Amino acid sequence: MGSSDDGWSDPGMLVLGSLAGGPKHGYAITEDVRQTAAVTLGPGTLYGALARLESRGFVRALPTEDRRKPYELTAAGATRLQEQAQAMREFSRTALRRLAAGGAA
Amino acid sequence: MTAPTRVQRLVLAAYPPSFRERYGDELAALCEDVGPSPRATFDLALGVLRTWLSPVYPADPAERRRRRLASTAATVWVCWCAVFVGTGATMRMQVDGPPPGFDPQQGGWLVASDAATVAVAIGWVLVVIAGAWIGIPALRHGPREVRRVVLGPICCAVLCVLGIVPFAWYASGHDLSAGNVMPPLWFALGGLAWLLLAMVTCVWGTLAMPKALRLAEPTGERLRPSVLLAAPVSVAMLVPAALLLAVGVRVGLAWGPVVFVVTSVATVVVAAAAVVAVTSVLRSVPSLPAVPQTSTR
Repeated sequence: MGSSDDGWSDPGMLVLGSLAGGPKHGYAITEDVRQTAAVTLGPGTLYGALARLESRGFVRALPTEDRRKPYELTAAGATRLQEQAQAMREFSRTALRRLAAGGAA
Repeated sequence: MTAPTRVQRLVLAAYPPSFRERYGDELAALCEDVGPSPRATFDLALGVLRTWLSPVYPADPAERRRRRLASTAATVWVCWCAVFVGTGATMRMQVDGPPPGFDPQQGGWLVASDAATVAVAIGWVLVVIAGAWIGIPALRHGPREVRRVVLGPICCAVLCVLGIVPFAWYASGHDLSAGNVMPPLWFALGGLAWLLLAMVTCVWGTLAMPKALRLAEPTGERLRPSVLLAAPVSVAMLVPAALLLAVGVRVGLAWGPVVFVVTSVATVVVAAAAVVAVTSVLRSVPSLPAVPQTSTR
């Protein structure tokens, strides 16, 4: 859980990516990540990631009476996600360019 | 939507208290939404392990530092208790059934025993000072729950100390080491009861103090001297750990497989506890407040 074969498996980044689409609670994040990244985040993995992201100020919990508390991306979280996504895009471009140039057998 | 299984509830209860307070309800709700499955339970168990090994602290820098120091104080206390019990039990077992040709009164074992005893005694003095520095203000000004949590183990500890008196009184009038003197029934039963009480005190005290520390919420400034004292305490833990390892390696299986296995496990626990304590103290150094201020909490 919390891992996949595609390399895009950092639970924290997956959660940030999911929250970029709007505030969500735990189960909604799990479902969103399953659909968009084909990764199943287990409850322990998800809340471990959420706790770390919250402690770093990347996400914050929204007030609610319900036990299912929604989280939203903060400005710092958005910047962090932007940087990481940019870095991954650069990596993808380089990898694809090399593949196109015939670097792989 | 289904309720978490009994196993899942047990695993959820194993999360660190601060994590449980903040995320426990949400995590339980997510377990209901996801439904019970071995995979989810296994993931929760891994989450428990990760959270204990790498705690999460709040974003606020002051609270983050305070939690870091409190975590170090609690970790060193738990490790200290493990070292104290493990060292005593290991050395006792080695003497109770010494292998042929091994005289505990001579050579390296005696030196190791004396050194470990001195290290443990010095460690206890430091632990008591560090504990009193945090504990006395917490008992005076902290919430009532703090007193309720520590009262039981403190009473047990006092009973343990007082319980030695009748045994010492009887032993002072009879040479029990001669082998031909049979102690009375009350002595044997009382000894067993005392041993049981000592074990309860150790376990209860080990668990109660971190809980009391969490409830008391001492400030970073209040925690500072105690965490500084934790450094020599953790060094004191390394002494019996190293000596137990050295003695165990030297005599090894000569004690017999049962004693060897039990003492080896205890030695590994002692050594691991000492290393964890040292690591925790080192990690908390950046969190130490630069200028201590007077505080009543």
